[in-house]
Amino acid sequence: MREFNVALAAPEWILSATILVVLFQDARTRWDNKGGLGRTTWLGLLLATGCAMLQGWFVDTPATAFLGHYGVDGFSIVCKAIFGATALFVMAMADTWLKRVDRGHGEFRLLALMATLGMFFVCSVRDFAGLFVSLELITVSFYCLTAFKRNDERAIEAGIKYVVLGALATAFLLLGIAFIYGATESLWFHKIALTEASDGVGGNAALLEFGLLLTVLGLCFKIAAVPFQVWTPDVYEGAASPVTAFLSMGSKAAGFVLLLKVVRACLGPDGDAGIILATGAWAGLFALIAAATMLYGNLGALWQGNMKRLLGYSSIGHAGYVLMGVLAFNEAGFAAVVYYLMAYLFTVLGVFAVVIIVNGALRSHAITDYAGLGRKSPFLALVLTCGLLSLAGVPPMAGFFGKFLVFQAVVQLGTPVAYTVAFVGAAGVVVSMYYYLCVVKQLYMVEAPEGDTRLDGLVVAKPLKAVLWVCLIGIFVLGFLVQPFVAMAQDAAEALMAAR
Amino acid sequence: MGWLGLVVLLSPLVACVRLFFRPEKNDNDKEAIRRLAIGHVTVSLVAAVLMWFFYKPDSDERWQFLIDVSWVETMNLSFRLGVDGIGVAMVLLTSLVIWAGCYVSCSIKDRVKEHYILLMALVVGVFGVFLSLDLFFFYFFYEMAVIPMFLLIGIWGSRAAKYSKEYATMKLTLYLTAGAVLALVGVLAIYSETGTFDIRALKAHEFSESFQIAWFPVIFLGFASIIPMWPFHSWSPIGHAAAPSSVSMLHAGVLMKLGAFAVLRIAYEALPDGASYWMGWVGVLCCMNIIYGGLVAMAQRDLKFIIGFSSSSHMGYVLLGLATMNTTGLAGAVFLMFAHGIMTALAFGLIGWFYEQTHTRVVDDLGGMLKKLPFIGTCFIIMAMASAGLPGFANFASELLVILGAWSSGGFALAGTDLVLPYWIPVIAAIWGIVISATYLLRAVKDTWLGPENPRWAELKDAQTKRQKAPFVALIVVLALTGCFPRLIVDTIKGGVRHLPALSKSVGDAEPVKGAER
Repeated sequence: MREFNVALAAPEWILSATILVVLFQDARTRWDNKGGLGRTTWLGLLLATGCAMLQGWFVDTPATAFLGHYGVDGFSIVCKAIFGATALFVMAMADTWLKRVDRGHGEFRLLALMATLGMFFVCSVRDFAGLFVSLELITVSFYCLTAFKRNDERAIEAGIKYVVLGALATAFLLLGIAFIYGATESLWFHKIALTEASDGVGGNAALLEFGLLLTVLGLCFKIAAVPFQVWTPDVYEGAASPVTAFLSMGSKAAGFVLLLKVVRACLGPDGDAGIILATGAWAGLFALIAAATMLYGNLGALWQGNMKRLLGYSSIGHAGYVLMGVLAFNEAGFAAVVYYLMAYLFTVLGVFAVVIIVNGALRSHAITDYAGLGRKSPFLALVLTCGLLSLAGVPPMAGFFGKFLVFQAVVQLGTPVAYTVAFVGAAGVVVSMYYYLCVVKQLYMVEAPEGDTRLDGLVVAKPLKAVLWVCLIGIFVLGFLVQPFVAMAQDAAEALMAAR
Repeated sequence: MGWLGLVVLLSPLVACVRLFFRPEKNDNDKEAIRRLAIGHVTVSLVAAVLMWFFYKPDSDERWQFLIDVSWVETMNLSFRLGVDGIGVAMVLLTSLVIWAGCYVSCSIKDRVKEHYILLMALVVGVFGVFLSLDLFFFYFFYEMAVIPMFLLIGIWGSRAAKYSKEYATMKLTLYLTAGAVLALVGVLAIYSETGTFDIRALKAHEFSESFQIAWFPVIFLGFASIIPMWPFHSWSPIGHAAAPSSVSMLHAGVLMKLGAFAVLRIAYEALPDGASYWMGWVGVLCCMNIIYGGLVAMAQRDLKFIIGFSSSSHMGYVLLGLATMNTTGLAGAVFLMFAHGIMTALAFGLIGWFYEQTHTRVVDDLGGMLKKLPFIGTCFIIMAMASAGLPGFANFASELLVILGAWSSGGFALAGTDLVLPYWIPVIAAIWGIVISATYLLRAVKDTWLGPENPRWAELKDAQTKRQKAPFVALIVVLALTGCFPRLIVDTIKGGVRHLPALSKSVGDAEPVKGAER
């Protein structure tokens, strides 16, 4: 039974066990005594994340399990660390947020854990069946999480929108996988490049390309890229803030991990870009998606008066930047994507942590209500400012180096298409600077209205304070002391390219 | 001696971190914060002066005070610090201006801690640009300087005529960001050609001519928006006018020089052929800067707007110096950057002094203030004379060098056409520019300081303590010293300029006129 190598999937086993424990624990405790659930969740997530990271030292990578359907390599370990950290941060936010909600604590943690499990699987899948199942595990959990505030009309609307559009995207994805199976007679990623159809000649070539096209479009839903980006602002606005945070980081990153795997699979065994995707039309397609996504996100955000909608549009914009890294189709580009995701983790979660705290006091997400935060709570304003500037890509913040790597990967290509995308991206940076700075303006340059005491004496719970500090430090470390993280991202990209 | 550069750069950074953990509860705390900031910039100033003193312009070592710490090895990215003569002059300028600026901003009473933290962050960015020898860090510091500026103007600024400070600061930030990202694409294009971020390696690398011609405008336009070159200048006077005094000083005195410095350090260094292909057009645009900027300044009634537009007029001379592409013109351009930086910092500091008391800068409301403010008024008149090109001040010497450089350039070939702009057109424009600037400056002096006393200003207070006088005196002394003994700084600058690869490549470049080389 060596091939099954069951122990390799230890992080996933730990998460699954945690889910079961939470399930039973929830059934056995009274509604007003759910504190134990939080502790179990924390413990499970910490163990699973720690275990995944330890595999980097103690497992001889690349290793596979379950007859090769499950793989662990440098790429998957880095991605699992990202997802584990995301889940931990989101849990810290949820702890604060759940205090305002009187029921459903067990379900919330359960669903969040299941989504995390899906994200862990995403890192390790090696075939299209695994891709679909792990992705659906995430998506279905998020359908429920989005509509979690069941008394709130907007949450329900957001949930329904997410389900309907998600189902459409899933249909695309599934159809795509079916075409790929038809063309390659296999569900393995690595078989794509090995079949005859991949040479771009023969009857099956069109089938394969069409299948890949549909798959990529299906994944665009997860990463909130054109043409499946429309749900983003509405769902971000309607969902509870911790869910939005999880969605904007975890779900998006999962989409990108899978996209990278699919793109990598098309590049051929040696990553020589000799297969279908290397043809100009495909590079053009990705460039088009990236450019349209950046423009849509950044221009759409200009008119937003609601913080969460603004972050929704900005998250679309960022999907475009990460796609720039993908369209490079080489190791440098993939490393840039991984780095961008790491930087995005600290940045966007720091921003959402502040949003959750401020919303707890304001009960509103209007940007104008943030006026005077800089005077009333300097630390929160500082974290929010640094987070927003990092999103805008200002040094010495993390987002800057992420953008720098992505732009570098694209400009390195030296083709007219690449330059066009780079200039569109540059224009996007200027536009995004405007709307991020409008928020900063509210924080520092506009005073709170007389007699408005809602923001006075904000109390920040300890775990959330820890998140704020970690994010603040992370933003600066990933923007300046970049060497270890660049090395990590490059190792991950190298492992991805080496994957067979 | 490499550590000198590091001291210059790190001293304000350490101040930033120390200030972050300082309390700001009462007046004593505020005073302690001011002292801390002033102490740290003084350290930078001393280190910068030592750098100037120990820099060897005649040495074959082009880059001195080197520091090289590998940052991301796989990308050939290192934390490289070092300066040539141009860098030394700019570091000296920056440290002087921020030193004076820290004294001037002692008058700020609200959110003192945040003010100094941002001021220090800003100056770290500026020092970083002047000291970096690595494309990545060059850009890193360049962008870094923009955001503190946004907050400084937005929070502590004042209304500029019909524009709110928020409008002014947003406009400034967006212009600078747009320029910066445009330049970033160009910088990355250079990197993908050379494979290293080392600026020292640019000169040796042979870029193909088509590459140079294609990418020079991208990089140049990106950086030129901060110079500010006409027609991308409109952010600058509004930004000056809306900013608080110390920020105006730094903004006009130093930040505008970043653009010209970046052009010299990156565009000229890597793309000399591109430069000689395109710079003829800059010879045309700079005339617009000089004449148009000067005429607009004549029409202004707000003192800060007058100085703001005069800045963009004077920066036209710098552009002209850049366009000449010979030693005289380029050295003149850098010298003018230095001189104009000191002069305009002085101007904004002085305007800030009485604006705090009068709450108006419109010349029609002022008048006859010399009686009440003899010290400030005298300084202002000296500043105006220097700015108008009175011999004996650095501005005269540097503008003269620029004009001589333009004279000996032999004309400016306009790329894409067969036309050659004769050398005498920019020269005449430059000389007329001096006349125009004398007009508006003398008028400003007359309307503000002379004439009948306005009873509204009977209560004005002059600078009395040493702390209040020190920044102005120091700036005037430097201006006069480098004006009377230009060699003090020109030798340093020439030590850097003579190594530039773009020298003497402009069309029809004649032998420099005898005597122009001093």
